[in-house]
Amino acid sequence: MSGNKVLELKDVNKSFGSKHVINNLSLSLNKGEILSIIGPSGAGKTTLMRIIAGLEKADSGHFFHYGQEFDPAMRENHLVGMVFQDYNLFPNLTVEQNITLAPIMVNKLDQKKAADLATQVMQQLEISGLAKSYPYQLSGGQKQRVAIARALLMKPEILCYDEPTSALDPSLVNKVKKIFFDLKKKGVTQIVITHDHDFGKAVADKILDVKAAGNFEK
Amino acid sequence: MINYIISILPSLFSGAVLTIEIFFWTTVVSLPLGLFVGFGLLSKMKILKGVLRFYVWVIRGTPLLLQLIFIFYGLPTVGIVFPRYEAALIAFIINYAAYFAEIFRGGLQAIPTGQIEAARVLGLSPWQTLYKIIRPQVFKIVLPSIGNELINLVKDSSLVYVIGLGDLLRAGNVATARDVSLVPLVLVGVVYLAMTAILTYVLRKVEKRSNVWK
Repeated sequence: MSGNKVLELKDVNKSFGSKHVINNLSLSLNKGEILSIIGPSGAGKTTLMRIIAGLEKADSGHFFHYGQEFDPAMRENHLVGMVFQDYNLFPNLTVEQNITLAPIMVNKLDQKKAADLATQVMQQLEISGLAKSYPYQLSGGQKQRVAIARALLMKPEILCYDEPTSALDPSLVNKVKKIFFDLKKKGVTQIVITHDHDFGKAVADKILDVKAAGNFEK
Repeated sequence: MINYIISILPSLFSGAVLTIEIFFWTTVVSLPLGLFVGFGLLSKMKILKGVLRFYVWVIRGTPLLLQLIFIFYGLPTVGIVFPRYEAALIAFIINYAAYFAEIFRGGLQAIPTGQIEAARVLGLSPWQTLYKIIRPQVFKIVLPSIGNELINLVKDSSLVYVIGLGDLLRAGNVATARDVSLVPLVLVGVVYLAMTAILTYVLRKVEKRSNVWK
């Protein structure tokens, strides 16, 4: 078993009722690689991502992290961060609170340290001025970067994005590309679902093309 | 006239104290109870859910007045006796908890699952999610409906006169019958208005505070 893969899936299956969504899928990713999952909607892209993020349970299959089998559904793993399609920011918290909530509550960082980390990441993502804003005051692109910052502060080894460019205008898409490449340099492995083939191909080291339901092709 | 008003005020105020007591205890007990029942209504345990649904159906489907009479005059016929005040509190708490439960159930259902999933991917425990994410959002959603019910409660408390408790309305009624005067009843109305005005003011303040986010 290859011990240098940050993530390896073996024979993963998932169906909803009689509908096979994922059929004997296997794939592997090295540290820092970017995987684009492209294909028509309803083909199981999001389901696959939700399984990797632990939000959905596979019917069968094995998951390995550097050769060690693990269960993505275990909350304690902290392996995967996720940027949701509609961001799912917490509306009752400010941007800074959104970003520091999990580091403080889950990683037991003290408030000051978490805020310092948040400031750094917000600077990188050019959202420094928004710390005290609430999500409803942000544009789509800003919300997305907050969601990325929120995921990053938990230092995930793998960061998943569901349709990161669908709500953005073209100038912002380039900014997102830059974020991808910056994170890649830092060794973050990234998985991105996209309808946008150009974007998917431009950022990807590997492409997973989902032709139709249950039929994954590399 | 002024002297007459001053002479009946003490009895009205002592009636108002009982009204406030019923309001206070009903609120303090039935709100948390309603929250628990609200969670129960969303439970996956079929039996629990069925029992709670039945409770809400019965309580919301029958008059509070009937429930009061049932508990104070009806239950003693099968050997269960409550003093007046306790009977009133039990009836009000059971009644209002049912309404609050439905309000909380609606509030909990209004939270998008994406919020809970985002919390889960970040590694938050269910309790942390409940406390930091769900609670504040539900609170904001239910606040106007809860406020409505609380204002109803101030006025509903007058129903206790039927089991012989000396609340504000009864105090005014007694004075009107004794003195053949409309003044006590007008004063009773003024006191109710004052109480609901204060409550409305407090509720508005609380709502305003939760309006910093949308």
